[in-house]
Amino acid sequence: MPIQVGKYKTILGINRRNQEYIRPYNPLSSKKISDNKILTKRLLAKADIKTPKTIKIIRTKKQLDFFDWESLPKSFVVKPNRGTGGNGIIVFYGRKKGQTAWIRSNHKVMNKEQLRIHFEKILDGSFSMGDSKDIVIIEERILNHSTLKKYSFRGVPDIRLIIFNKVPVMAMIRFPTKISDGKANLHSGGICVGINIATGITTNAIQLKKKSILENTYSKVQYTTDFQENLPLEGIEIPHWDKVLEIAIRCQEISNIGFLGVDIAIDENNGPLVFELNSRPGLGIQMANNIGLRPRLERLKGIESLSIKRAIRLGKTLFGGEVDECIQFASGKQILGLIEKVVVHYNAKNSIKPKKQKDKFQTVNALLSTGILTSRIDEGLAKRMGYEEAISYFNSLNIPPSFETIEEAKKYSKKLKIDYKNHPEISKPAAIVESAKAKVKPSILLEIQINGDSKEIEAIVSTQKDTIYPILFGRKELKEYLIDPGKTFVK
Amino acid sequence: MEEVNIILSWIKDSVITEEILIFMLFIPIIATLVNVSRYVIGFRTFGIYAPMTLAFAYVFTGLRFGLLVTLAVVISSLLSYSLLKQVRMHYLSRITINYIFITFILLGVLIVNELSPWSITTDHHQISTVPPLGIILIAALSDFFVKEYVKKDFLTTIRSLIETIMIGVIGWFLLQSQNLQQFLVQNIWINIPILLLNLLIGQYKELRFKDFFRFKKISEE
Repeated sequence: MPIQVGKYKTILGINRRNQEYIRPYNPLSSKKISDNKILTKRLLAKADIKTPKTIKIIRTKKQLDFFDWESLPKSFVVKPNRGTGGNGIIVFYGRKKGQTAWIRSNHKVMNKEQLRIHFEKILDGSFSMGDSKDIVIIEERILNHSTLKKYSFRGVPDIRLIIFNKVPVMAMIRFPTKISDGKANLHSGGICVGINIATGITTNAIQLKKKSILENTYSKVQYTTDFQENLPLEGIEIPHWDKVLEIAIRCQEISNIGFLGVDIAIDENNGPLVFELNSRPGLGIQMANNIGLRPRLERLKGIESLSIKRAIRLGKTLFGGEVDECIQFASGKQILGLIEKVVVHYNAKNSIKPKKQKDKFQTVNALLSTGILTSRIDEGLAKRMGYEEAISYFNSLNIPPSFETIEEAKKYSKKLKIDYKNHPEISKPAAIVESAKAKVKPSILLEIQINGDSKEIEAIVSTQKDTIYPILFGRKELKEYLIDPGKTFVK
Repeated sequence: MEEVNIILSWIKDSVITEEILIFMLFIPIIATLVNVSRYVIGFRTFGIYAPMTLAFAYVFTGLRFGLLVTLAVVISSLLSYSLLKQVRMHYLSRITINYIFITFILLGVLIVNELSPWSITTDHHQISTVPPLGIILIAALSDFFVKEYVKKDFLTTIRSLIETIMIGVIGWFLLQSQNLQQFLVQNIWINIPILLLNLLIGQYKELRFKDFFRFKKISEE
């Protein structure tokens, strides 16, 4: 299969995740919440968001001396309060008859003494961030939802959602397998399945293929692996999907973690329960969905104050891309909204280069307008992006400010002689109607980026008095795209 | 530049030995190596200290002997961790017992190496001449190894260990180079570009080299 280099541009790597999303959007105070499961539970409980019920909390080794082992139920889960990556978590499914011992998902039995050693390891901070002392949480085991039970091997699947600026960006469900020992993590051998945000239906599934010294490899899977009758992983409808999305967004509101990973499990009786909030969500979700996170996150930068309903609608419209992908595949054209973010690059032909990196390009909202043939750019923006000299030169040609008719303007523009040699950024003089007057304006060559594509377009410099958008994308450029007004959003 | 050279000559003559000066000037180089390997390549070493310590330790012990000691430290750490896993005890007691294991296993390795016809010590690096500090520095790797192994699975820990040793060996290789040593002593200004390089890496947002393998499946679709 040929590698498409361009696709790498869509992938969010650890470096960019840390620099562009975690540092600016996840303040230290919010990280303290996500790194502390007890604090997370308390905060969510205040907002009436359900989490698995806590049975016991053990803070010191001294407490273990007086611990009533008989009081532990048949099934429960042990977790370190500040654990990471599922380390130190053990799920017990039943109690050994007549003994103070419990059975794990891999059928191994742990007696009181072994459990105590595990508790002490947790208290010593062996599984925790920063090696500091930790707390043991014993909580109820979730009753697997009947829809998902047939896909998970002795464990509870959890749904991971990435929420950015309150909008659900990407989701996957992780199913435990025989080799993952009740855990659902990708690196433990769990099966990760992408979820279409719009429908809550699973799409693409992957599993760890081979652990190697160099790098683990993953492969696509179509069916569950550990049952007598294995079921297809594509097309599973996640129960309570809209509720899951709503809870995940509310978690962001409460925790103030701007770039958030939320883990949610579906309990048969209690519905969606929040397992964990993660302020450093992993990037494997991109592999499960077979798509990069970057373009999705880029589209949401700067969005503020959305209501939960609107955020869900926006997430579903923007990223429920399965239908879009089919249309794109069939037509060979990409689907854009009416308004898209466009990156305008500084005029490369200008001998004076910008001193600061931030002046080399500018991101603006562009209106995709089928009413005009050639694209237009606001004069102020064009000047800022290095076209000032070209515009001044054009203005010095003593062109009449307006013409009686557009035909007159066209005739005049055809006769006009332009010094293209010294001003290669000017493509031609163009006759346009602006504020109900026919005018002759310069058309310039502009380097832009739209929806991840870089291209050079022709744009007529105008005052843009009739619109609030600094760029109007004309029909000439729209041939390669389809427009879906439903995708539109305004900053 | 003349003034800098005068100050350097004075430091070498009156304050510290040239060897210490060279070692100190290599600290930014090896730290930068770790920095580049983490954020550009994607190596997950045991922090900066461990690979740096290994690089310096291998200078004292010689590479082959140093790697043998490293192997002995890793095996003894694994052994002691596996044996003590089910025993109740305080964390520091566990680590102390781990070091007792290491001490005796290392002693055994040194004796076997000395008596064996396939001894890997060279004329240049006799055991009797190896400074104990070199061996102790390598033994400290055990702490990093066990801490990682408690939290991560075996393969992930071994991967980090191999990447740590690789950087340690590259660091040792650089430290061995007489030309580089002289260059660093005579061109102390090189630390300014090194500083700038680290500042740049601090801002680096692109994919790490290893990410290309990790996300290969997506790019193929």
